[in-house]
Amino acid sequence: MIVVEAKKLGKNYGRVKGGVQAIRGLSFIMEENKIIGLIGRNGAGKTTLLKMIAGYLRPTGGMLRVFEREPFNDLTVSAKTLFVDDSMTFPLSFTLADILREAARFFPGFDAKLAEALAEYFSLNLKKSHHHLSKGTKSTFNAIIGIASHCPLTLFDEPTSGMDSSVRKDFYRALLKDYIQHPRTIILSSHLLSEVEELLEDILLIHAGAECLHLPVADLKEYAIGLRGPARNVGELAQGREILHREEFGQGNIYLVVKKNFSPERLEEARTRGVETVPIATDDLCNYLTGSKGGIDDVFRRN
Amino acid sequence: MFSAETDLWAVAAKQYLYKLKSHSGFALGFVATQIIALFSGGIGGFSSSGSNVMVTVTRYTSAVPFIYTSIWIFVLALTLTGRSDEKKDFSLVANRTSNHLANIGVLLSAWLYGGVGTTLLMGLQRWYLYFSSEQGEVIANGFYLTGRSLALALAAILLYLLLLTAASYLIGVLIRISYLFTVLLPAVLFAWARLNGNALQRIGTFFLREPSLSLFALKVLTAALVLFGFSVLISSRLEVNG
Repeated sequence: MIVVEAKKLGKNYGRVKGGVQAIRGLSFIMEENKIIGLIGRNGAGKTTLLKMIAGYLRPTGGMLRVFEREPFNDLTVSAKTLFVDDSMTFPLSFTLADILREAARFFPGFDAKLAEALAEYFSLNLKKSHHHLSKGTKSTFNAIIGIASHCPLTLFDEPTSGMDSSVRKDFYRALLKDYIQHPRTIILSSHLLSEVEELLEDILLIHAGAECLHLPVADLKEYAIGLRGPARNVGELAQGREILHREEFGQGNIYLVVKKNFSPERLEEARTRGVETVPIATDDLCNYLTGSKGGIDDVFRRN
Repeated sequence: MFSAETDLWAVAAKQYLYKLKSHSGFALGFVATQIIALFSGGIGGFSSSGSNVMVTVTRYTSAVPFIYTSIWIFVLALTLTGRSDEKKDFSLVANRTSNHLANIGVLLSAWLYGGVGTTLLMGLQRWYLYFSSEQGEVIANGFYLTGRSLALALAAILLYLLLLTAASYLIGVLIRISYLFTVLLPAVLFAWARLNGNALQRIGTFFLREPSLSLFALKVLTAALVLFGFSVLISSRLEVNG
């Protein structure tokens, strides 16, 4: 079953002329009961996309369907969707316990026992007011709501911002454990893929509001390969292929990252000619795919 | 599987309780404004003294508590329609219509609470004046309230307050659409009064000088319905910005 479907989705902020095009021509399908990573750099359009899926923002072009409905201002989509980010706010007069009670009234699947147990584990004082929490603690509390609500579509926008590393690990583990017990569709946006990749089934990588890649994480790990060695031999091997990343070393050595579609024999032959093959971490790959080709080195080369 | 519709009224009712709880401070705020109104004294008067006699006259009016109540409900309407509240409202389940229904529900609760409270205060104000001054000093027609006049006062206060509540909500929604309206609304009203004061006066007369209570009630209810309806209509395509 398809939960989210976008076709040539676009979103402009402000007037058409001089406005900002946050999302341009994005097309994808997200299946039910998966954890999907929405990966992209700062300003890539992750939050805008999530806010459109949550029904907060109205697309300015293309088509977007969530649970087979247009999500903007749709109550049925809102009832099945929870958007969790660090600017999630609640009335000043509410204590954390009040908020948990309210969430339970709004979301029929809300697991109050789990929420309380998680709050206790993370040492949250439920008598405290939400706006008195520190940034990290606020993120932790919001994440607890996200987990315990068991919403059919849960959107986490950079949920771990401000959390310390042990809380982050615990949060991801709690999310995974709960997801296994209560499968649902979860979209997790992050600019740190390495942190979440163990959790994810699919990733959607976006750059400047457009789709870069959308594939299972397992395929992403096999997507590219690094070739290091004498410039001539490496260049010969990579000829005619799109170069995702390039670094030059001294003594005529070069490091190139290209798509991994070589035959094993071809690679074996290259190795005999001094070309070393290096697996590419998914994090680095995403940076190569969304960055300028020469990387930061380019800036120094020009000056 | 996905097509089950969510019940608008059920969500609006949940939101109503959520908002009622989160704005419960306003109930106390009302009591505070009315205490200030009660003890804020008369609205003017005069003193005159002869060789042996000195007379001081102070005028009191029930309009003071009513004005305080109007300001109170205006602030509540602006709070409910403000941007900071909007983010809180949409954190859980909501759409524009359910949010408006819940807001209007809260405002109508406040309206009833404020209207009844203000009427009761009229009685309290008389009681306070009566006992705080020596007997015989209070000169007024209709100082002693009968059940009928109290009921009439309650009806009039509720109706005027309803009109103000609905107008406040529209102002709140307009300001939510654009902050420009904070400048534009008074400017337009001022310009209108200067250029075509008669029309404005006619609107005032239409509501304020209506001798028949039932006709007045009909006018107010229709106007309130139009104002609330218009507020819902003009903001239905508004995005949630936090």
